[in-house]
Parts: sequence; structure tokens; C-alpha cells
Amino acid sequence: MSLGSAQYWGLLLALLLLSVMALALIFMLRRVAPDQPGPAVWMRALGLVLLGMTAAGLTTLQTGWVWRVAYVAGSGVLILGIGLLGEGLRRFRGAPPRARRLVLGVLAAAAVALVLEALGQPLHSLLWMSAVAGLTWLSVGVTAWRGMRPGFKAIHVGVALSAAVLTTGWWVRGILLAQAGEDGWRQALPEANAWLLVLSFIASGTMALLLVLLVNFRLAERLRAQAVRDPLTGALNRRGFEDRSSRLMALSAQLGQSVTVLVLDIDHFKGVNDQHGHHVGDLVLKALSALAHRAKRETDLFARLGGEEFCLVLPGTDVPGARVFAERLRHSFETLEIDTGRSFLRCTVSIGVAYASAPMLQEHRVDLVDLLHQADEALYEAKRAGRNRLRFYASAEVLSSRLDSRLFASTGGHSGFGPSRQSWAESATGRR
Amino acid sequence: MDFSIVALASAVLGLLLALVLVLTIPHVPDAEGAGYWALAFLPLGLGSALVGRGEALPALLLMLREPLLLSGYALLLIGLRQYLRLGQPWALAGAVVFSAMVLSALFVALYPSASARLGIRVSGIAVLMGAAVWSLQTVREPALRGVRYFLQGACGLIAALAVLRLLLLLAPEGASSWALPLVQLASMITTLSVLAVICGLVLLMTARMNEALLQLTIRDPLTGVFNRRGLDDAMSTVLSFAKRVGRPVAVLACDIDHFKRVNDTHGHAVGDAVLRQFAQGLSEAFPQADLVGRLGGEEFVVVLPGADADTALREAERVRTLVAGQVFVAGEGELRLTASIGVACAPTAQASWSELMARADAALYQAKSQGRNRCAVAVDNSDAPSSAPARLVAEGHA
Repeated sequence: MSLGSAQYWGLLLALLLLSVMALALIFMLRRVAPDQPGPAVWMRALGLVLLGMTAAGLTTLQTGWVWRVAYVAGSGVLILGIGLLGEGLRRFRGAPPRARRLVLGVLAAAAVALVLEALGQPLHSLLWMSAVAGLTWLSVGVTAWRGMRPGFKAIHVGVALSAAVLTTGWWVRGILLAQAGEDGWRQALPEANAWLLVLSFIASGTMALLLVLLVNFRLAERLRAQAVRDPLTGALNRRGFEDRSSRLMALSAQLGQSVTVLVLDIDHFKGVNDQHGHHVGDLVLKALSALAHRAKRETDLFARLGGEEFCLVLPGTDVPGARVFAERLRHSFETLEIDTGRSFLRCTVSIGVAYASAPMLQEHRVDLVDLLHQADEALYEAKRAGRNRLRFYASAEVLSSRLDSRLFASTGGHSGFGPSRQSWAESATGRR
Repeated sequence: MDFSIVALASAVLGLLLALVLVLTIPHVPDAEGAGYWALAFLPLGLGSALVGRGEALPALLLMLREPLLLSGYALLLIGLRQYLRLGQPWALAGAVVFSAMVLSALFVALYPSASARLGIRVSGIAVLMGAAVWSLQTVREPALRGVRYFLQGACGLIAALAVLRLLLLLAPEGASSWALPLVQLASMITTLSVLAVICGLVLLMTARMNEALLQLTIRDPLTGVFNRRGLDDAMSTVLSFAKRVGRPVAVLACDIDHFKRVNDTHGHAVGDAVLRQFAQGLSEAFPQADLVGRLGGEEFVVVLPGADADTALREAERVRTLVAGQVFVAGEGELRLTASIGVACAPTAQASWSELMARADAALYQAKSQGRNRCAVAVDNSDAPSSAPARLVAEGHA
């Protein structure tokens, strides 16, 4: 296929219009996702690309030093715009800005081109700028590729591929012009440019849509994460807890692991609220959440079930392990001094624990609702025994592990000890 | 200028964009209707390709070309209306496509005329895209307004260019020297606008998904009023706006009295029902720009932009009497409850949100400790020392 001058101008006009539409699209994207850092940079980048493309396109074939300088300036602006697209991608993924390096690089490239122009080598200047533009697109592609994260792979690959196509376009243009040589490059220019424009048209159009998707899906991911969390404490809310805990229980059963459920309730929280106000109550909630977040493993779930009641699900934890964990949490909260701004406040927490062994989970003898219920009963018992302590729900399994474990040896005799389900294993250390 | 290569490039780009759209659909919840868009690209692409071939086609293809292209636009419109949960214009779409089929058969077999068929095509496009612009008018969410304008712009451009081409058909014979490039330009821009429509639809889909997700994060799931995060977000705007125009902002902290007792005696289900009814009552009492939120537990917050201390107290008193008169449905029985309300006002919105809230809280506990079912106003910090007690103003059961 031969591409003539008429097609070149048609393509240039179409590409300009497409860029204007992309500009409008990105502008709307900015309104839809106002706190995302990418779109603002991309808008500026697109503006520069539009400006540079027009200026360079109109001056490529002109002679006279004013026009040549205008050409170099136009290409420089175009390359700066391309680089800014990559810069937007960098900002988008949270990397530190590198705009200054970009500007310096473009200035250096333009200086080289000006020297070539001064030496009377417009073809070499053209080839140089083509090579640099291709390289800039390549760097955009690499940035997109390196920013890849699970869940967004396809979009990043698409952006990187579009950038690769554009790199190819610029380099093919350079090769076509170099082949034409000193004598023929002016005649070959429209066709070479037309090829570049065709590839730019397709790749940049695709890229604009992919960037829209990238921004919106990232925003969706963040919103989803927020939707399952309690805004005050960062713990999972009920919605998030129900969703994740059921999956975690099934996973534990499948992996042959036991599960321990802790229910935590801050002692005399109502009193704190009444005495110091909701503001201080919030600080107490936050303090306990911070402790729990620090203590828990990555697979453990920490949720706020409402009010001052929290829940921890520890998969793959046996009774002694849970006891150590809960006791440590109780103790560190007890010794924590919460800064209320006016004074330091100390609070305590009561913990009820329920345990299910792997066989029980696998045979569906207990589910999460049962465990929460059992832990609640144990919590109630801990409260009744004077608060600031932990109690295990005494299922047969807890009792047998109690017999096995030395940890429990220090626990004194217990009236309910035995086959009765309604007995309470007592904490050795939580007692006062 | 020659736009043939642009048409080719647009076809490739359109294919890629359509592919992206199709791949996006499964990742976006409640995107019914989007399937029609994916379907629309088949006839649109085929029809455009046939249009690109000009008149050098077998008669049958010439007859089917216009209805094929128009059915693509019709599917876009139908998908859009289903996506917006509007009635689907099968009758309109069917009428346009069917009449295009009959008329283009007429103008191929009996009165061969290319410009008549062009007229059929562009008037069909104008009708369908005009209907799309009209349908988009129902997108009311403030967050989606920008996307709506973008889509309306693109669809409107297509419709306007179709009308322009229809008018150019009527131009006198001698005008072809300037009319022809204009027609070519118009058809090129139409093609680009279709591409823009695809992008706009993807943006609409993902933006509406995010809007729904945002509502999840800023609303309390139990009562539907703002949660803490939503209130924090909204308050930053309210306070900075009020500060700029020098108007006061008041906050009512409302707490249901002895709510713990409701939970303990009737169970959590009844407690939840009471909270829901209480929140509904509050929302109905403040239908305008006032914000109603739940901070957790049984504490609710009403923000009154533009209300000074006296107005706020009047409003608080209104809420208190309203609650005292409200009959809460609790399972089979009925419950009567009261509320204590703490009022804080920032005269020129100088206070921060947390300060204001802390003062309202202090007033609330003043009201609670004075015997509940009453309102108390916090004394303004800027006029008096912060330790000054809240002024007890109104009493309930006198």
C-alpha cells in the first residue's frame, strides 16, 4: 500500500481530533476519580503532545533557521509530552516524581538536534528526534510493565504493548527516512509519517481507553477494601468479616488446621464514654485495634463486630498457642497508657476463646456461628469472674488439651471440670 | 485530504476498543445491557466496511447495508437504555431498521439512487443517536455528570453530523466541489465519535461501579445514613464552604436514651429495627442539605449548615419532641423511647470538625447527666473558657 501526501494530512487531522477526544475523556476521568494522581498529569501530557505534534508536523519540511528551530522545539515538546505520560504512570503507582530528569533529558536531546541542524544536517536531526521519541515510548512501556500488579496485569500489558507499537512506529519512520538517504528523504517523508500516524492512531486510542480502565479499577479496588473495613479502627466490619471468615474456615478444614476464635470486649467501655466522651472512647478502640493489628499474623482476621466488641480468628492455632496470644494481648492492653490529650487512661479487656480442632471442622460439627457463640459465652464468663481476664469455652477438646499441656497445670481445680459442656477452663495468668 | 486510510485505522482501533469493552464487562457488576454494546460492534463494523466499499457491491449487499449499519446503532441505544434501567425501545429500533430495509430495497431495485440510500442511513442515525442523547438525560448522579456530558457530546455529534449530511444531500448540483470534502470530513468525524462512544461507555460502566462502591463505603449498612467516613468526607466540604462565606455550622449529637436496655430486654434484632426507624425519622426530619449520620452504637449526628445556636436548639427541640412522640415498632409490640441531644455551633465555622463534635458530645453528656430526654447547648469555646459547663436549656417531662 502506498501512502501519499493527501492521506498524511487526513491522518494528521484525524489523529489531532482523536487526541482532542482523548483529552476530553481524560478530563472526565479526572472528575470521576478526582484523587488519583495519574489523570492530571496525563491531561498535561496530551496537551503537550497535541501542541508538539502540530508544530513538528507543520515545520518538518520547511527550510530556514527559524523553521528548523521551530521544528526542533516542536519535536522536543512532543517528546516531553510522551515522557509525561510515563511520568503519570509512575505517579499513579506511587513512585517518586522524576519530572526534572525528564525535562533535562528532553533539553539535552533538543540541544543535540540543534547542533545537527546548525551543521546543516536536517535529515540527521530528524532521525535523531525519531530515535529519541521511540526511546521515550519504550520507557513508557517499561514503566507500565514494571508497574504491573496482580489483578491489573492485562491492562498493564495492554499499555506496554501500545507503547511498544508506538516505539516501532517511530523507529520504522526513522528507518524509512534513512533508507531514502540525503536525496530522497523529502519525498519519502509523507509516507513514512503516514505509517507513524496510522500506528499512533491505533495505539494511542487503545492506550487512552486502557488508562481509563486502569484508574477506575484501581479506584474500585480501594473502595472495595474500604467497604469491608470499619473506618475508625481499620478492622474488618461485619460485612468483610462474614465474607472472609467463612472462606478462612473452609480453607482451614481443607488444610487440616484447627481454628481459634477470640472475642474481645473492652471493660467498662460505656463508663469511659460517659465519663470522657465519645472522642476518648474512640481513642481506646483505636488503641486496642492497633495492638491487635500488630500482634496478629497475616492470615489472622481481626474484625470489629460492633460497639466495643472485637473478634480475632486465628487459623492453625492450638489451645496453648491461643492462650499465649490472648494473654499477651490482654496484658499489653492492660499496661498501655492511652494518651487522651488531657491525661493518660488505662483500660482493660476481657477475652473469650473458643477452639475447634481440624476434625471438628472437617466433619462440620462446628461452624463459625457456633464458635462465635461459644466465645461469647466464655467472654460472658470472663466478665462475670471480674473482667480483665480470658476464659476458654470448655469444649471436650479444650479440656483434653488442658490435660495434655503443662501450660494448664497451674490452673487450680474447677468445679465444672469433666465431661460437662458447660464448664469453663480458667486462665492461669488472667486471674487477679 | 484522503480519509480512506483513516477509515481503515479506525476499523482496527474500533475492533481493539470493542475487545477491551467485551473483556471489561465480566469485571463490572450489574452491567446488563453492556452485552448489547458488544453485540452492536458486529453490524457496526460490517456496515462500516460495506460503506467503505462504495457502490461497487452486489445488489443484495447494497440492500442490506443500511439496515445492517442502523441495527448496530439501534443495539447501542437498546443496550444504553437497558443499562440505565429505562424501557427498551424495541419498537423504535425495529421501525427504523425495518423501514430502512424496505426503503433501501426500493432504492436499489426500482429507483436505483445512492444518495437516497445515504439519506435513509443518515436520518436513521440521527433518530437513534438523538434518542441516545435523550436517554442519557436520566443520568442524575453528580459524580457521573461528566461522563454523561462526554457521551451526550459524542452521540450528539454523530446525530448532528448525520443531519448535516442530510442537508448536504439537498445541496444544489453545482455545490459538489465544496460539499464532497465536507461530507468526507463529516463521515470521518462520525467514525471517530463512534470510537469516543465506546470509550465513554466503558467510562460510564466503571464510573457507575465506583459510585455504587463509594455509597457502600460512606453509608452505614444498617440504617442507610452516612457512616463516620461519609460524614468526615462531607464535613470537610461543609466546613470550608461555610468558612468561606462566613456562615455558622451547627451539629446535633443525638443519643437514644437507655438503648442498652432495649437490646438487653428485646434482643439485638429489635435494637437494630429501632435504630433503623430512628435513622429514618431523622432523615425525614431533615430532608434538605442537612447531613444525617451514625457514628456507631446508638449515637446519631445531624449537621445543620447555616444554623446558628438558636436555630440549632430549636431544631434539636423539634427532634426531641419528634422522637418522644414516635412509636417504634418492635417485633409484635411497640416501644416508646426518648433521646438526649447535645448541640454545638461554630458561629463562623472556625472550629474543626473534631472540635465541634467533641463539644456536641460534651453537651450530650451534660444532657444525659441532667436526666435524659432533653437538649443541651455547648458553650462556644471562642467566647468562654473550654472548661465552662454546657448550658442546660430545655427539659423534657416537665
